[in-house]
Amino acid sequence: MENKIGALANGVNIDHIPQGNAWHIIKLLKLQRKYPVGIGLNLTSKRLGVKDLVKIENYKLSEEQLSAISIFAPGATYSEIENYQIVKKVKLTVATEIENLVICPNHRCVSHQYRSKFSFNNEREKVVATCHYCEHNYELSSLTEFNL
Amino acid sequence: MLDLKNKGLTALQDLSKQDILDILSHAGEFKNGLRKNTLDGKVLASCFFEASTRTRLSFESAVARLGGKTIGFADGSSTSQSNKGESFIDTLRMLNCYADGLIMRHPNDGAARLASEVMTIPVINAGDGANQHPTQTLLDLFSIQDSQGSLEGVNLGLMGDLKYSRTIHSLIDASKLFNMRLFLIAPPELRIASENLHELRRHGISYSFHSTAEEVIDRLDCLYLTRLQKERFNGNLDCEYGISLKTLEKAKPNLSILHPLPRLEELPTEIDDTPHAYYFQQAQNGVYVRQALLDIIFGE
Repeated sequence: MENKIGALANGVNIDHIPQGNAWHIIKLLKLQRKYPVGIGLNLTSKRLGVKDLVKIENYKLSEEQLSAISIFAPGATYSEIENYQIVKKVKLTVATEIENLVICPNHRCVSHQYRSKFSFNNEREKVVATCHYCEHNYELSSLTEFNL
Repeated sequence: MLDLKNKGLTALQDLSKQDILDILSHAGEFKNGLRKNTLDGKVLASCFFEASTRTRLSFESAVARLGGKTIGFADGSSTSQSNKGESFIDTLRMLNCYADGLIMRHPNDGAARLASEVMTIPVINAGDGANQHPTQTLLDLFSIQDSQGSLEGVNLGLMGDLKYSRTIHSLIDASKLFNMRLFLIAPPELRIASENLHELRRHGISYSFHSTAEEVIDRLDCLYLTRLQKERFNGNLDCEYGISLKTLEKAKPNLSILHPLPRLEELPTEIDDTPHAYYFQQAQNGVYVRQALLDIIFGE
């Protein structure tokens, strides 16, 4: 499946993205009009059943960007490629804290008037996201609106 | 004494068990007239973006009794934020210039936490949406302690909207610290959420469910009633809700009835003349507890 998008000479490959979240990552990284991007949607995956995939040519993500995209792709694989060789490979885990990305689903939350701040607890079976301001807890799947 | 000085209070969970006991002890000294003015020359902004009779007046009474002065407003409709579109953040920054501390109620969840981060003066949360109202919980704990002599091991009946009530949820949180036995009395529609029960089990708190106060009145030390917010469930319940003189026939002599007020038909005035009625003393305790907190944060 991955070959349909083409092999990368230089760039990054973000694999095992939960289905539907590739667009969020493209938007978050603001790549729409800048770098050559290959997007795979609804690909067959042994691990996830169905997955998305993003390849970006001539690009590397900073640690901050990796933290930010981790919320859309917990468990995804991030690979940096140089001359067709993988030079770095990491499995993404959800960051412990992310500011001004997630829009709190609680419409009464004061963060809508300022900026949001979420912490993520990876210790439980499911990741629990907690709004710093209204203190509501959410599963990742409940977070559906973002400042992108 | 805990280190709240010049910091403020936004959430009850910011306090340890010992912090809470220290504040209650301090409040007892105010109740017994053992402490005097400590806010001479201090100006506190009492800003209620949402109206509240008891909380605002008891805070302002507490400031006045300590010799301080208040500026502010009783609801948000007369502010530049409301009339001229000023942002909440700018309003906070402006208030930061005018007062030594802020006492704030706000309709949005988390507003006090945000204010405490934006401002350099201490912020006391007087209720932020459905989130926190720490001084209400402190005065409730003070009232339980004052009426029963201790908080440890008290048989506490919680009656009302166990599903949504901020006051009840905060008391349940606090009960974990003091090994209270909880009797959860509510119509089926308003029973406590499963996640709260999970927390109680995790802390080893004993609890049981009941439909009426009569079922358990002979076991209770305190019965805490709340008004039902009818907008939460379309105002239709399958059963009657409240207590009466008949409910109290088998009550223990030490039973104290608490209610955050305002009350509706759930707490009829016929109860007022019984020795069990404690809710107006509870309201008065709000002044002592807030005096204690203000003294700890702003006092010399």
